[in-house]
Amino acid sequence: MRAVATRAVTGDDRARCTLLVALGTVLLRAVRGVLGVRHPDVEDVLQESMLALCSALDSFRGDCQTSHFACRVAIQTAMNGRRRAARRQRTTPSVPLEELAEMAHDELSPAELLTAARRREVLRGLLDDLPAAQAEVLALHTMLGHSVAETAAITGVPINTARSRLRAALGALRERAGADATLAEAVRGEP
Amino acid sequence: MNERRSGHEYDEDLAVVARRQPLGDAERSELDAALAADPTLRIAHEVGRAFDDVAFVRPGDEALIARVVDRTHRSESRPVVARRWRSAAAIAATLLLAAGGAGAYRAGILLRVRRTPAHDIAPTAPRLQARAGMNGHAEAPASVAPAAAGASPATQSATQLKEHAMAWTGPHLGSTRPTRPSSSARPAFATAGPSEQPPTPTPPATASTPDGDVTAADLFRRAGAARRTGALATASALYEDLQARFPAAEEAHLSHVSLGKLLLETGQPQEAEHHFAIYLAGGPGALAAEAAFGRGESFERMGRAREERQAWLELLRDFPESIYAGAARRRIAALDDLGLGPPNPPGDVPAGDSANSR
Repeated sequence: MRAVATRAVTGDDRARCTLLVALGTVLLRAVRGVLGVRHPDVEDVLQESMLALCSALDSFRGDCQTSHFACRVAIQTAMNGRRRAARRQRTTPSVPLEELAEMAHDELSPAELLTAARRREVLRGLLDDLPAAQAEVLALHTMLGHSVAETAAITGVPINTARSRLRAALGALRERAGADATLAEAVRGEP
Repeated sequence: MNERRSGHEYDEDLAVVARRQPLGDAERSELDAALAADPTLRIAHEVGRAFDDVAFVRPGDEALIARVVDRTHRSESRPVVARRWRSAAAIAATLLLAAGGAGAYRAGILLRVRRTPAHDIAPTAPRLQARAGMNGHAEAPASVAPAAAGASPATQSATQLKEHAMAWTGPHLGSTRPTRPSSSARPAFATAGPSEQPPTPTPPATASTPDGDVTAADLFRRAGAARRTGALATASALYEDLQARFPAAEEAHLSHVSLGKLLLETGQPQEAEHHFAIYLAGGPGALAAEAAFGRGESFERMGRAREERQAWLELLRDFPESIYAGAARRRIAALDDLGLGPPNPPGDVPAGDSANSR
């Protein structure tokens, strides 16, 4: 992948095409994670992410995996897109019910689907409000499931820095969770 | 957050590993202890798992990516190679997504394995069939057509159902009902697909009661918890309480489907049908296909063949792409074969994809 990225930086169109296609799922997953699976801006933000990635490739020094670099670009682009969308639409429903359609888990009841959707929205809402560095770490770790070490490598900071940012972000998440009924059990430590 | 250095550098990492793969006994114990000791870690873990529930890789993604790659390229003004770019993108997308999709599918199965007994994994395939469109907003079924298009079949259906619901005079729910085993193959939740309508503002989910201490969300959560623990009478009572105290809350609306399913499982199809009808009377909703299927099942359990057949026809009309369509067609055919349908079946069953079955 890195070799393809290197060729793409030199202006090789075919390499750039291959790179974007290969990283498409990584970008799409990050965009959908931040915006929501059925957010109407997913496709546009995906394109923005690809453009941003192409622009950022010049600065990519190979400090982390190419896919992780792309993931970071997509998360930052998507967080910007989410803020733009929030400005466009001041009032949003308490739960993005359209997302329920995405979750065809037969083992989950409607109540469980609603709970899971709420929890995602709690985190997405927090991404809007946290400082950018903390929001980025929170998205990479909690939303996309990267380890602390991976998160540090992706964001290009020492592990302890990534961890302190994560702890601050999770502290804010805990604070917000206290006001959310679906997370109150977790706050209290109930099963 | 407590640090643990035995297997993983941090508890946070152990929680992440638990989301990726099954843990060994020792790691599981370690994680359980960490979650019990640290509320912040518990919250992060629960929220992270909520994201694991969403399928981020979807059918049609390869086409979406190829299209966006093409647009990205064109926006960078390289028209000479656009055609070659487009072809290469399509081919590469197909090859890469096939490999990536298989991996993601396996990962999805793995996630489900962690949460679901092995014998419950089979319904995964319909879950994929239920999804339509490449980006989640490109396609909308007729059932959720914008109101500006006039009175859609779904709208008419909602009106009829509302009248039906208002006229219903069936028995009220009792507090204690005999239970019986649930039906063997419960369908996956699904809806007709994405709606092009903008999200409808909903009443605050945390609207409080006049006494200010119980919310709609509380009741919804407690009812769900009671149902999961088998306290079905308690769950029914809580759903009813929710509907009575917060009739405008989204939770109350959704609870009609939950209660309908519960009543169906406990042998009360007439009451179940009433609640499914109420939900559908509210117009297109996220669980509308589920409710429509529940109505058909309710009539089937009641032995009311004519109404059952009509319910299946309405499901096919309003949710032709849902995972329930195949089951509806099969049931109509069975009714017609048994002579329980109209004297001369009018050939009113919409043709559809045979793969749409549950």
